Amino acid sequence: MSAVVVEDLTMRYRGHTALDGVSLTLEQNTIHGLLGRNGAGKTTLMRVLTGQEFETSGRVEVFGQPPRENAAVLDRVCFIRESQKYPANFKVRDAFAAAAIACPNWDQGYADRLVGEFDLPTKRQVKKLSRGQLSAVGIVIGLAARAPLTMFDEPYLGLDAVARQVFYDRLLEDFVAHPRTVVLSTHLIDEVADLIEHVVLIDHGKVLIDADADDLRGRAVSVSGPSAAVAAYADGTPVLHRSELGGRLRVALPRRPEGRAEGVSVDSLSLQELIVFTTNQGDPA
Amino acid sequence: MNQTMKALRIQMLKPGTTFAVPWYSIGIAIAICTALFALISGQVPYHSRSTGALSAFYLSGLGVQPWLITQLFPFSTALSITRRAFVRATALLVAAETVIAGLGLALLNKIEIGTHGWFVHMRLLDLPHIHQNNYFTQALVYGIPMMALTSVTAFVAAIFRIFGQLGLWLFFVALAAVSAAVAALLVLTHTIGHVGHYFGSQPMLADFALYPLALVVLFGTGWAVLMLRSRV
Repeated sequence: MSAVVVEDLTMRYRGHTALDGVSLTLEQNTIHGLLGRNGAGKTTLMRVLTGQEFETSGRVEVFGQPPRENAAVLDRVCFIRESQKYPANFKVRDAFAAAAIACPNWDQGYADRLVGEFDLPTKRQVKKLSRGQLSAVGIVIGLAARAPLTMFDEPYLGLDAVARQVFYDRLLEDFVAHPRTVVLSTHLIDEVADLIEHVVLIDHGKVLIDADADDLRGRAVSVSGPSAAVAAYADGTPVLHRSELGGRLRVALPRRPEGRAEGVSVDSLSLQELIVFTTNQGDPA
Repeated sequence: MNQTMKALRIQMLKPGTTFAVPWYSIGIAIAICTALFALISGQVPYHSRSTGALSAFYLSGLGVQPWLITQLFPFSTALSITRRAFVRATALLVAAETVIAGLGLALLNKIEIGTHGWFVHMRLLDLPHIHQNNYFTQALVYGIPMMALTSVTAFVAAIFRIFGQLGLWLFFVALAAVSAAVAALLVLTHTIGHVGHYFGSQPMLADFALYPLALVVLFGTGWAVLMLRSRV
């Protein structure tokens, strides 16, 4: 059974279409990257999946059931939002105590270890934390909850590079030890490129890419060399991006052309470049 | 553990906020009023030693529901608590607060009577217009108005949560308009005196328990409907 099945999901509010006929499937025990620009519809999709937002039309199933007001589903879901608000008078330890109550798989020992690694002051009020510490509270809850479906929406805001690496390392370690479905919405594509196994790219409420990350990495290429040679080699293949300077041309292609590469250099396109070029072009790869 | 109990336990993580504030207030009110009447004991006749400090208990509890709805509700739903579970838990919490408020204030009332007005002949709880001879009816007279106030503040907080400041403003404007229209109608039809007489002639238990209970049903239902439809 898939963790998430969405069919023709549309979400409108106040005349704005946040999601427009989205269909996708997220397999269980996989780390999915949910990518896209600001306002693309990523957060709205996650809010619908967690029953926080009500879809306008379409079918949404999480673990085979609609998530809306469904305790059997929501008990298996943890959603850490970028702008998660905590009650003003809560201390950090109160937030963890609430998570321990709400999350059936909560691991207090693991939470304590993460608190140490992120150097979180558990007796301090949440409203007095820095932006990075606030993100760390969300990360600790998301990881220690060990929910079968864990969603992180830009969980790293304000975290320095070292703390972000701690997050990625712990996420991967814990995922290996306790496999579950993780959805990671992020802008830092290069940082998570080696972490995610499946990519969903959303732009203007539509899915542009829904593919296995390894497939994407192996498929998309950058071709550079003399302009004529590159143009000849890339002929017939859709071009995601082109840049030309002094008679040399570089093109990004969603797949390797079938002909022989003569006089040109062919390299793998980074995931970030593929996402950026695809988003700018607006067409599915 | 089912979701309602989880939501209730999360609400109880800060008992100082959810339960204790009115009790701090009434304790401080009793202490201050007792000290004041002790200081001026010779200058105030016994029959004039009534205070309105009991209102501190009710007014200080008004902040609980806005806190629950605007701060704890979004956090609880982020932890995958359903709206329905949060609403049920809040209803249980309000019911418990009402019972504790009623029984607790009725007990303080007994202490006040037993100590001859906290040893200074002061009437803070045993006010003449709400006095009941039976302990439990006295608890109803103290507790149900608390429940009614809580329901009204919960409803107003839910409007703010869903419709924002504009919604709140529209609600109060509409409420003022309806109140003015009803008052004008009563004055123009010369029936305002009859209405006043009707409520004045009702038993005290009806004024302080039955009609507030009607407000609980009205605003409590409105609050639950709004919360169940709320986006997070």
